[in-house]
Amino acid sequence: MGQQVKSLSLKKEFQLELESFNNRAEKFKLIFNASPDMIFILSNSGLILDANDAAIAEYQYSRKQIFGMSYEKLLTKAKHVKSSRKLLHSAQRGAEINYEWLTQTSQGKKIPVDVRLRSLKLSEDDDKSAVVLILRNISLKQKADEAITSLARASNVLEFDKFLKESVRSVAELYGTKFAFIGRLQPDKKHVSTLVVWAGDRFVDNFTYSLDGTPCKDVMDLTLELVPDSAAERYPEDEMLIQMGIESYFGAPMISDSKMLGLISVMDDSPLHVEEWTSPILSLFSNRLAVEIERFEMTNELQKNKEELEEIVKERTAKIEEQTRLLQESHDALEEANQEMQSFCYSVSHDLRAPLRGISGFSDVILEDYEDKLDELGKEYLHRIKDSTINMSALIDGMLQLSRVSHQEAEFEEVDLSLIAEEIFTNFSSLDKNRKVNITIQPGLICCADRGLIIILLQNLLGNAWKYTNKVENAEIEFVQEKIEGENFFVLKDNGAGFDMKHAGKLFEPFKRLHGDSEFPGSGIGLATVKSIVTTHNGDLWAAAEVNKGAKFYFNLKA
Amino acid sequence: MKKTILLVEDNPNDEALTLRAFEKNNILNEIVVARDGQEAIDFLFCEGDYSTREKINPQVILLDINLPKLDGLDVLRRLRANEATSLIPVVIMTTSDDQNDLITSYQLGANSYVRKPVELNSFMEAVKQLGMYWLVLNEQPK
Repeated sequence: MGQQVKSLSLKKEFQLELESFNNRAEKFKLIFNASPDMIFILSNSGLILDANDAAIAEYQYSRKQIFGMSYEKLLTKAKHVKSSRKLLHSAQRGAEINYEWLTQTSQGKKIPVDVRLRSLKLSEDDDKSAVVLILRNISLKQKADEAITSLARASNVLEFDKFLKESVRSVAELYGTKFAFIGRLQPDKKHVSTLVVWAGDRFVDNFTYSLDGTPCKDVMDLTLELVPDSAAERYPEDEMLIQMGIESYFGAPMISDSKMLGLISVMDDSPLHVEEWTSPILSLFSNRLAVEIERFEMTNELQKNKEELEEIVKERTAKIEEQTRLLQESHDALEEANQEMQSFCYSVSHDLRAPLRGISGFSDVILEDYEDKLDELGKEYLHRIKDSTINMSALIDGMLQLSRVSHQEAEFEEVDLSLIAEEIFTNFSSLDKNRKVNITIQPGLICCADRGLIIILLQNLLGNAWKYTNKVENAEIEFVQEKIEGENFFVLKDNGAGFDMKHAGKLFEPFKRLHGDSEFPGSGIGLATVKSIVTTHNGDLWAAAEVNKGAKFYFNLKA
Repeated sequence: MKKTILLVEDNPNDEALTLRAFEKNNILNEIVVARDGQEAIDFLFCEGDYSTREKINPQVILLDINLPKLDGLDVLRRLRANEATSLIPVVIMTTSDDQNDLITSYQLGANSYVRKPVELNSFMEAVKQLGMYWLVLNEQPK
């Protein structure tokens, strides 16, 4: 029950308020005038009975002028006037009319508007009704639509240059200005270089200018700069503005990721109005351009890097090819030198040996045929001549062998070093039957190697062991395999003359000897040959020795 | 029946030593010395200076390889290509121990290959062996 009472009392209160509200026309007046939309009350014949503050301000009439004026004066074209009359009639008959018109102010400035027409009974008993005309400025919406359309059109252009041109022409068109340009801030932050300039009917050459004293400088300070008139006077230091007779200047900064890229500006030689859409549309363009310019520059940078990289690769490739060519040339030259070396060795073999045979041969002839005419000294001298020829012959053989071993292409197969060593020692023993040498050969020393080269290697190493043990009693030679630091090595040990490790460095050099000829004759080529063969097999070779306690030669073959 | 030996040798020392070695070993056959490859060919085919020679093949040819004009291997090739001379025993006697020379010699049909030793005694021995084998033991096809 109580609630009903309460509800009743509320209703009553509302009724009272409503009455008092209705009675106070001033309240309506307040709302009427506070509306941002432009509201006109029209008589049946279309004369303006009342207009709110917004309407008066927008269309730039005085109250006096506007009362009694036909609404038709707000319209721009005759055909609009005609159609508007029909709309007015429909509204009077109760239809709710929503429409769009292009209107104009007393100064001729065009304002696109959204239109609503509603009938309004002035009193209950009056047949006649007035019409309420409510207009809303839709220039921003329209401009934004246009701007988005032009930007979309510009964005369809794939080439960056054309995109810039399309954008700058669109912006000039939208703002109705003669000039428009896009400028890129230079790294010194003091100059701007234009990327594209539109001059009313054509694009003109790009240029660079100093920011000092220009409206562009203010734009660079991150503000949108809107100078609707007297631009040249406001910026007396900007000679270009003065020369061009610029009155109005609108500019917006292009910023990407808080990096200042430059600006877009429109200019005209007559004053411009600053409209609702003026700054947002310019910002729309500047933001969009900033993104595109940044993207273009990054793509360019990437492309440049890519090209530089390609250039580097090209240069390197050319260098490698050149080096390969040089290498091939050296290789060919080496091959040729080897050939020459081979034929040189052939000549040496033949040409040096022939006279040697003569010297040796005729020494023998003298010893045999004229023995009775020579005293002992004479015979000894002839023997010395003969011995020298034999030494020289060995030297020539050694040189030839070293040269052949160094140039020979190795052919690898499984080789039994133990068997070869045995054969060589058997041969040594048969040639030198007086020697008694205790020889130990570990059986089954097998390796992948060039058989011919291994025979030469073992002949030299075993020959040395044989030679340098000939002055010791109980000569011992051992050929075994040992593991040193995890690697297998063949080891040839003897208990012969050995050598001083001080001179070990010279051991494997050709013609370097650690013993005199009178002590142990030799050519000094044998170990150089051994070294060359081990190298051909990618192996290691070294020696350890002590004077009069023998020598050990270690080698392995990794072919 | 003349068992002529053709010695093809350009080195006068080797010629003298070889002739002496034959003498010392009592090899008393007629020895004709040709001092270059062309002369050897002329002798064998009775051409040039030898055009009036009675056409009898030597019993054995001792052939050096390094020779003026035609080398020993060319001489060998020519005489093996000719039916009349293709069966004459040829002993290559050379200073060279080049493997290629050795192989080529045998491929071309050399009967023996002897490397001239520096030492006279070995040389004598080699000549003696040659004489024994090619002049005494070896029966040529008739």
